[in-house]
Amino acid sequence: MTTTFAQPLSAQPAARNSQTPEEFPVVVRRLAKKYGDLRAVNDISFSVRRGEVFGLLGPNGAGKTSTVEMIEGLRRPDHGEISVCGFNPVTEPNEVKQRLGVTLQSSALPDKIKVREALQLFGSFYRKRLEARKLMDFVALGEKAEATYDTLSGGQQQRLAIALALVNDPEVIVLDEPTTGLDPQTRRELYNLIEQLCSQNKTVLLTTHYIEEAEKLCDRVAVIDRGVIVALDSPAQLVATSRTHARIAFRTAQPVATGELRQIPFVAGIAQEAGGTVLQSANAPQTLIELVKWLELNRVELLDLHVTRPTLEDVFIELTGRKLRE
Amino acid sequence: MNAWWNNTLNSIRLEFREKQTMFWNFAFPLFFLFIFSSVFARGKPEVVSYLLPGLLCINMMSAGFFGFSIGLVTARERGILRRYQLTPFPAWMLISSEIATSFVIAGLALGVQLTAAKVIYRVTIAGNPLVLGLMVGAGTLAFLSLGFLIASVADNAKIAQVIGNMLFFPLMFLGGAAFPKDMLPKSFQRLAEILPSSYVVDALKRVIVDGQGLSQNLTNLTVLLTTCGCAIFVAAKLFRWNAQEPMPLEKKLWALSVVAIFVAAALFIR
Ligand SMILES: Nc1ncnc2c1ncn2[C@@H]1O[C@H](COP(=O)(O)OP(=O)(O)OP(=O)(O)O)[C@@H](O)[C@H]1O
Ligand SMILES: [Mg+2]
Repeated sequence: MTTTFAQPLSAQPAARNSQTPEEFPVVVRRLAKKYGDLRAVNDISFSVRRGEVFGLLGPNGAGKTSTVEMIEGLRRPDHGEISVCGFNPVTEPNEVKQRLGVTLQSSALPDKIKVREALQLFGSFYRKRLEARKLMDFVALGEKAEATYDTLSGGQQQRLAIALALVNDPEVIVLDEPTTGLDPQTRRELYNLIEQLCSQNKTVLLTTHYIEEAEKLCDRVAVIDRGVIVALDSPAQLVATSRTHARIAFRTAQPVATGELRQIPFVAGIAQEAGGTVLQSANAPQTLIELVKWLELNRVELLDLHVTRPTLEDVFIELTGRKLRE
Repeated sequence: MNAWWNNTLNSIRLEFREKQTMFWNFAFPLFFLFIFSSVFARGKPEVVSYLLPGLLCINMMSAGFFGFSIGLVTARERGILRRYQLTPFPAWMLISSEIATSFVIAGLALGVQLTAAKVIYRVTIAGNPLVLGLMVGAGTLAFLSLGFLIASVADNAKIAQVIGNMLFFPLMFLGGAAFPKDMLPKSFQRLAEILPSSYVVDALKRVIVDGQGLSQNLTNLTVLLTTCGCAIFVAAKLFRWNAQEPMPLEKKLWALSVVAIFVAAALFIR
């Protein structure tokens, strides 16, 4: 498997016919949206496989919300095609809405509505609906059933938003920045929730600017910047193709001659730091094997070692020349 | 239809949980009634019954211009409407359901005000209570529709508040709700004839004070229902789910010209 940079779909027109809604519930082709002169979404294409968690990763203003809200039928594309479970959000919005569950980046409920009431009310708008009790249990809001919206914490409001997104037992769930503004503890709780969704074989499309979120949750990630997809692959594959080197830091009982370490395959740089020696490697596993052999041969005792792999953050900087969050 | 009922009943329930709404809808109009009746009318039933149409009209106007319109704009600003937009529940159902909610709340508030006037100040209603109900209903609908129009035009709650005030005070003072129109100069009286509040006050006076029936109120009824229809037509065309999408200038101008044509036509017919 190779990483495909930029517009993976339009580069493979042959694959189009094989993309059935059963296999790919969300297909986006050459999508574009302008606000005045600003090209917020500029020729974006991707497909989301059934049962996968697909992430749109990008900095503020990259065009994530514009993209997903066109999929949800809330904004009208200037250009391009969208299919959600085989339906077009522009011409068949109701068929799409019946099958889609969404949390918006910013929305709210009336202050005085109770958790149970909100779930029952919004459930009644759909052909297919899940029981409020089940949903509250799923998002761990069972004890808050009779609490009004204005008394819920930010995390609880977000969990309610997720429960509302599930109220019609949707085929596809779209979460726009589900954890932004939440504390790390609450964020981890939401990760568990989203992971549970995956185990129920739901298709999830989420947007985020948290690297951690993309790496932990997503099967595939589209890195989006200034309205364009600059890379699309699994997080592991994206990292594997990164040109940033892995760092191997180790401490030894006896001093080592750095000159000799340079002979070890794939070593691209050596530095002596306070904690010990640091090797930059283009192929961490191979370098490690050779390093251990070398230490053994030279009877150098290894005290401590750890490897830092490049992260999606590094990949992002490589691709865009910018950090995700300044 | 089930969804429509669910939403309406839910919204009515929520209104009752809002202390502010309760105060402005029920406590404030009663306070108004007491001041007017005890201070100005000195508790004389004939005088109170003469003031009552204006008080009811003020109550209806504040339900439409402030209660309904600010509520709708705030729901749009907070993203509550967008949450609805994600569902298959259509816009017209949502709006009609919210109008129905405000109609019920305003109806109850008006009922409380009327009952208080009857019980405390011994006001007698000369006409048919059903006709009174009909005219009160038509007036309330007209002002709620104008409130919907304000909400559709205004980009945020502040602007809605300003427009609401700009309509409320002229309609109250010139329309004969605060004091009789005869006290106004002639030119103002002519202007007052195109204000919906004039027709509400006139209709209620005819029923409460003069004991007239439906046949003498047909003009009033027609004017109020026409106002209602036109306002809803324009407001629906301008409806927005999302506060982030401000209305383009052309649409604002279009709305303004429709309203101008409507007012001109009203002036001409008079
Ligand atoms: N309704 C709008 N009118 C005008 N410009 C808009 C509108 N919505 C978004 N934009 C602009 O389009 C660009 C993309 O916005 P979008 O909200 O899609 O980005 P995003 O990736 O979701 O960003 P964030 O991480 O901040 O949510 C931004 O520059 C934004 O200012
Ligand atoms: Mg966004």
